[in-house]
Amino acid sequence: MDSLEQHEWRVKWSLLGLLIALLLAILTSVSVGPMDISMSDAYRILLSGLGLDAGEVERHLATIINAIRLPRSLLAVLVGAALAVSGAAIQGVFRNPLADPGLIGISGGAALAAVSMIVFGGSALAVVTEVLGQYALMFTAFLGGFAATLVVANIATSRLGVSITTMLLAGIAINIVTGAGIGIMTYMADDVQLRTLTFWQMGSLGGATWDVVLAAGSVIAIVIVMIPRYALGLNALLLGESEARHLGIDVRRVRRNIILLSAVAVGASVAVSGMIGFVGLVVPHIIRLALGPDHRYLLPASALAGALFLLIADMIARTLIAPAELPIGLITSIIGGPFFIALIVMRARQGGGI
Amino acid sequence: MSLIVEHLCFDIGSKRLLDEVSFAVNPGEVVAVLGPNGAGKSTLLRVLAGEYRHFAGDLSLNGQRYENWGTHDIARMVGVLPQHTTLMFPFSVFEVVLMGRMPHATGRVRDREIAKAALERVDMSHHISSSFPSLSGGEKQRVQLARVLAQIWDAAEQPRYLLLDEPTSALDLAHQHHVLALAQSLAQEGVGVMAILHDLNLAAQYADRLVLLEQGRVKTQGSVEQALDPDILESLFGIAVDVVPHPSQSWPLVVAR
Repeated sequence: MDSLEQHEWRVKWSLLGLLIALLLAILTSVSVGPMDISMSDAYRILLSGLGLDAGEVERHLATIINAIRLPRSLLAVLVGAALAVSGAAIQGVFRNPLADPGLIGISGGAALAAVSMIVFGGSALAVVTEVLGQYALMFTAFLGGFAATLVVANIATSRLGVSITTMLLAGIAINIVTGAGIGIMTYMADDVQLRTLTFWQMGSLGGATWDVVLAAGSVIAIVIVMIPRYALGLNALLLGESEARHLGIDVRRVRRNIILLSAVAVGASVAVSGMIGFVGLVVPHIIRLALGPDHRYLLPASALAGALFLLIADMIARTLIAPAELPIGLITSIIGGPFFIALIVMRARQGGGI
Repeated sequence: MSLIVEHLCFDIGSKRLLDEVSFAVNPGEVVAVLGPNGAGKSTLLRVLAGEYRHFAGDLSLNGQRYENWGTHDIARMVGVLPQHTTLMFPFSVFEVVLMGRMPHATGRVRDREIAKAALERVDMSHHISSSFPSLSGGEKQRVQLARVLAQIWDAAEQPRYLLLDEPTSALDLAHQHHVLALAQSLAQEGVGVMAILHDLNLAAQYADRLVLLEQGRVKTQGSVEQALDPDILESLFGIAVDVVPHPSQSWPLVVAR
């Protein structure tokens, strides 16, 4: 067995390990909360939820898990996977390990649209609220992320193709504009809206219902399945744009589809959970350090690790100051920021690259 | 069955970068493309690599017009060694070379054999599990060459071509000769090689034919002896040169006066 085969075995075992850890974390997550439910009860309830006969469990416990905790855990899994896999793919497209969906304006556009909806949902944008009901926020956030991405992509595209530098600069400009827009909304908001808006910006999975999980989940699931199809193209892109083309990769198609898919996933995530930082940047980074940059493994591993990370962060958010609840975006940033700094310092001391 | 360029014109915006360029790269020969900076050498290479599709003129590859080949088809016949690469992600050397097999569907066992053989050929086998970004500039270039070799490894199907874009610009003397000697031996095995070179003496030593470009036009082309004419070179590069016999070898030597 040569060194590459050994590496591949290690990667495959790691993927399996991540999957098992994720399943265990889901089980733990549904048993943790104000009402203590034992892991074995939780296990039986989840199995009977899958239509398997697992013995009798008290009905009110099953209700707590099925109606409240399970949708929330699944939403954490979906959003975490979506943010991490988009982060990994965007870093590949930009050939820059420090890129993330926020950098090219996706998150900013989604946030501005969502904040506008929070502030004007009852007045100027009442039509949208009427037509879309509870999906209004999600849909507008998604549109906002999408629109920002299109603007940035159009600015960066010329007759000669797409300039990555121009795209990053356009992203910075878009972020300034959306930041100012959010500032204006904050200024115009009344007290109740201000509170909603502030908490929304700190991120929360508190809005998880089966409706939300199904709506966001169907969109995110498509993206998580689609993005790994471009793994080889992304690998080739890391060599360079021309090099990828010389290897027969349709660079324009790969880039366009990855950016669109990421916009969809991040738009949906921002819409259902607000601003949750650092997952898209830190998770792929850690996976790359542990398992290497090959996108065939990086993308699924990032999805699993992102889901696991957000699930754990949500457990901490729910239990740390129970019965109150911390915004999850704060948790991810508090864990993610220092962890990231530690990684950078370690790497720099070892004299390694990225 | 060659790579044939006839009356190639190529514009970007209103600027004409290539103007009525005609030449051919035949299997088994090394063609060196020379010329001052901005003459259109790299643009020519990019068009031949299938990177730009909005050119005018007749380009054919192994008997088919370029328009009829997809990017993927071209990648199976034409390998391109870039001037330098900016791969910052920690792929291993083996993984980088394996990427050369991407356009082919020969299966992972065969791909790995080829990648190992290609590394052997550039004398980098001992670095197979090294991290690519940790290599020196010369070593990186050799690994990239192995990647391109892996891409055009199979002689079975149809003639293959190797395009080198100033392959020696980052290399020391020994490595410059190593790369071009390898290109020459590939040509002897039937690969058509086109190399953009700055060093006229390297071209004189390794090329079978020279193409001299000036402002997007072919100024002259032919054998080494024909093309390395002091008057032509002086008008091309704007500097007076002497072309003298090599003290110990058969090819001529170009020295600035």
